[in-house]
Amino acid sequence: MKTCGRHSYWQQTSVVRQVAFTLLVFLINLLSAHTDNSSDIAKLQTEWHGPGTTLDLKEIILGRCYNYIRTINPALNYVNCTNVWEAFQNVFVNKDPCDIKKEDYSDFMELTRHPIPCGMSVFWSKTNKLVHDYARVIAHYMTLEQTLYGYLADKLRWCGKIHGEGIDYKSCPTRKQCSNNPLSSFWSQASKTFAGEACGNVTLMLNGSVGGGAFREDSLLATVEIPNLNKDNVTLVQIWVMDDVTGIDRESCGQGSIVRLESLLKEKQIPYSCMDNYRPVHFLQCAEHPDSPSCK
Amino acid sequence: MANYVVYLSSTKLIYFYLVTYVIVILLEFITKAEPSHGDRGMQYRNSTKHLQTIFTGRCYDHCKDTKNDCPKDIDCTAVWDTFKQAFVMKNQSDISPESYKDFVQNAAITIPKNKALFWSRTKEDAFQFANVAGYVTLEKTLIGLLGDGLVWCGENDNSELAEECLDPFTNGTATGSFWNKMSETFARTASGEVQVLLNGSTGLAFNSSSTFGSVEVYSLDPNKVSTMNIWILYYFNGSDWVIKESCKGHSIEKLKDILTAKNITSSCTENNRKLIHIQCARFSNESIYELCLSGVSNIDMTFSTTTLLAIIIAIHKWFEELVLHS
Repeated sequence: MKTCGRHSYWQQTSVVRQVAFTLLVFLINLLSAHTDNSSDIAKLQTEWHGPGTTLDLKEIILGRCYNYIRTINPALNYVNCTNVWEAFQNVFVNKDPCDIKKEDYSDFMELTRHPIPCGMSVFWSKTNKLVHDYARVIAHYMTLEQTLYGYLADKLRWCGKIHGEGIDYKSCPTRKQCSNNPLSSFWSQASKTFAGEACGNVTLMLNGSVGGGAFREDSLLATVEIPNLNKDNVTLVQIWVMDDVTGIDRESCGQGSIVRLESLLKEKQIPYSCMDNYRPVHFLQCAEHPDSPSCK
Repeated sequence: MANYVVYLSSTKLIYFYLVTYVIVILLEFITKAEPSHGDRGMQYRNSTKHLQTIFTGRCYDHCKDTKNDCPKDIDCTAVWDTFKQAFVMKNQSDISPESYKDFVQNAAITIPKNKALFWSRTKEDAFQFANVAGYVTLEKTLIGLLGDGLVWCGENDNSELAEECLDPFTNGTATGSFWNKMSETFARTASGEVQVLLNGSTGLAFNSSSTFGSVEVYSLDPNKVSTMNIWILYYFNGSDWVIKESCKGHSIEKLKDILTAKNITSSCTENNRKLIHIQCARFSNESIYELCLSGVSNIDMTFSTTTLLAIIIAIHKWFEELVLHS
């Protein structure tokens, strides 16, 4: 049949065209992929300056989640830990580690935030060991690291990468390299939530011996926590300025950077009190250094 | 006739009471004849949910820090497996401490020399004391922290964990035998000078039915341990220091005898300032912690008074003897 012959000729030419077209597309893809690859390879070879993701991150976070809801704070029995992990990893896995904003953690925060009884919130700056030793002795205090969301992430490191397994175990960006990194954004969001939940009398432990000031303008305390205190819920901020037992008394209430903090609280119309070397906390310092002059 | 009826019914009554009485006595014997469970109240407790995830999570968490006491290249899933094998597919009350032998080998711990801290009836304060003085308690080592605060058990014909556990922490249970074996291991591993924190506010600071008094002290290795430093902790109850026993107390003498028999020297201190500061830090009320601190000198006074009294009595006796013999 004449048409068949013609049809087959067209078919042949269209097949040839299709093959040629496909080859062309393929070549173009290859070329663009190659150029993409080289910039990505360049990115891959970027060594971030911070330590890489903690090994076995998933196992640790899942374990901590169940540990928290079953043994530390059973009131949170309803939390679904597998969903928590899903929400957490979705924030950074397979993503550019310099493009993680604190809002990206909102799903995770929704699953892990919980109310904090009034009077329990304890904020701190440059007093990590002391404030946590004290919170262990006095059961009715709670720091950010003792909330579910703080507890899950405390002392861990994580960041993703666009290629490969999606998690970078070799290195992670520091704050200097980019501020929108997974870790900084997490603590910014977590601090914001923690400050927002505070009610009643809250406590703030500062270091009166540290160089550079007890209350620093670039700290999470100044940039996130104080601004997010709810003046309708917080009745008092009691400030304790603790000097190192073996250190110098650089700043006290009503001095130096503490004045700046006090005026910030005045502006927010939140009442405050201030005490130097609050005795019960001082006793705990003395437990470690009983022969210090201030401990005799 | 009425009297006779009354008489008959009263004898029937008597018989009735007699029979009831006998039945009651018999019943008592029957119930008593049941095997005694000792201190078991036949109480069931729920086992901790998601135990495996918590357990392995704790293992990875603790061992990610290389300066912690984990064996090199530890495999946390293998550790879980050997732990589980100790008690699954077995009767709940039939677990021996030795069942955990493989687990202990897989999770072999090391304790820095001179840093081991034992405790008895002073758990929270021992934890704080370890924090401020740089000591290590069992609960801070890998084998201790893996099980701390958890409840678990197996059951016959079940390769998984059971949901309810009978009388956990008693002899022969998965948890009871766990702590028995871990305490023994901790004691056997300790070396150099070891410490123990005892409760001087109970009247029986060294208690031979406690884990310390029945397992740990006997598991100390005399080839490794040279001295045991005994610390007596007193509790401040908000108004007074509760002082029931001192280093010269009867139970402390008993402990010292056991140590001497093992060729381990000992020392004892009652008034350690670190411990006092830990106690007083609990009170956030200004007047109470002033009282707390001032009570310290009262402890000193109590002992100096008793020592003075002892000296006076001794002198008196000696004088008496002198007079008698002259």
